Amino acid sequence: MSILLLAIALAAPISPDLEEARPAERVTCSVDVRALDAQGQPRSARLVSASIAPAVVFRGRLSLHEREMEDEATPATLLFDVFNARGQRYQVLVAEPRVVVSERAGHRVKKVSKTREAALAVAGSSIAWTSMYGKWRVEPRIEGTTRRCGAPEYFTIQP
Amino acid sequence: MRVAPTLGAWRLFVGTDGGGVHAVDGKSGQLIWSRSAAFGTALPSNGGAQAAPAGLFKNFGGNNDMILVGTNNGPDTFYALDPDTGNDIASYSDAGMAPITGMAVVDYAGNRAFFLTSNSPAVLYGVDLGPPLAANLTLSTLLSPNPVNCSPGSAGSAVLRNNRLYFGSSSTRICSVDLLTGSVSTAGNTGDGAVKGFVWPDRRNNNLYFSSNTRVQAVRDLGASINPLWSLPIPNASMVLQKPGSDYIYVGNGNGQLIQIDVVTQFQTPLTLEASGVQIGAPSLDGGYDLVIVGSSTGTLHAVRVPY
Repeated sequence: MSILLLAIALAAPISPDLEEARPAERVTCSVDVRALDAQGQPRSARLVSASIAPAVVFRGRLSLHEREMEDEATPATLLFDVFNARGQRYQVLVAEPRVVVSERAGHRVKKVSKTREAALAVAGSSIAWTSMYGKWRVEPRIEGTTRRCGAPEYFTIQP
Repeated sequence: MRVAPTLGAWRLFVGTDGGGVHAVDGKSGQLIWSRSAAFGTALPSNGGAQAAPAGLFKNFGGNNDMILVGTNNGPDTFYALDPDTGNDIASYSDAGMAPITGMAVVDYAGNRAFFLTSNSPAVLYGVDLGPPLAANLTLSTLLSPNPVNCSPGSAGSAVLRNNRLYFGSSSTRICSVDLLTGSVSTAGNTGDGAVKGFVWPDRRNNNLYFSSNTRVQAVRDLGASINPLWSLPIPNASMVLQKPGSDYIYVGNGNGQLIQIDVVTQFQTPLTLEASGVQIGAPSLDGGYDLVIVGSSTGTLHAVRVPY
């Protein structure tokens, strides 16, 4: 019986929805948050000083298999929706994929990085000039979609 | 601003938090040039040019036409860009330079510019801008030493008045640099976070107004010292704006309000623009119509007739 069910399942036509599903909808992602210190070195973003840290850096990572990424004509761009401590969307940061083209055995090889980075300016920005302190949130999302592709991350900005 | 007859157009120069510098046609809104990652033309810095651009223009009596902007987050460099194309004209950097996140101040009479960095000891730099038809950036001999230290650094901008430069540090310290003697005087640290943006000099006297984390404050420059005048608790105050020639300064707060403060009596008149919890940003003035223009964290722009 179970073999019959498996056969039926395998023979079932592919749903049009699945067939047309865009690669972005198959991708999940995560985001790592780091603060830069005054020397530009990455540090923990648990507490970010708005008078010292020039930026908070978001590094998104796609779960899609690297081979699949390489085959894509247009690799996905990540967006980071950044929400202030009051839950208002402060910025949408664009993180373009880095594409490196090299030659291997006479063939051009395109390699797309699975990480994408974008930075949120902090010191000297309107965050500092209007004391927008508190617990901030960043949500990663694939460009062209409306739902986040990974869990939100939090960081705290203080004076 | 109308930058130069040769450019033949009204042109706006803007910086964006993402690190770009852009020129926009002031009448059509069309982008003329952009130094940004989106166009593959970003200034060579991890953080780009977060600082607002300043400018020197022949149309206003300058020796040359140039846009002046510093970069953030290494390598930290001060650039002169061609207002027509956005291309580099000249740059200045040295090993001690820290991120430049504030707008430079341009002294047309002295053909020089001053900018701040966020880390001591190299805090205030002065650069000469070069003779006509030979725009350049070289360390000015006017300041000695150059750069000037005023610990712990500043993410804001200096203002120039009567051969003095004033700026706030990231520890609520006010620094005053006499450009004739090179002497530096400071007002104490009130422990209320960074001075926001810049200090506002009252052109009628020697008073300076500024915001820190939870307060709006006034000090008076007496030459040899800077004395505190008053300090008002206003949480999440924005940068300060004075209506020139009046007793009123304006600040936004974190409760959806624009606050008018009488600098003589310290009487406050709040005007509620949005719900409590909404941050009102730095005000700017349309002097021709007596309007204060402010944005908010909900993305709303308000125009308020002043005084009210």
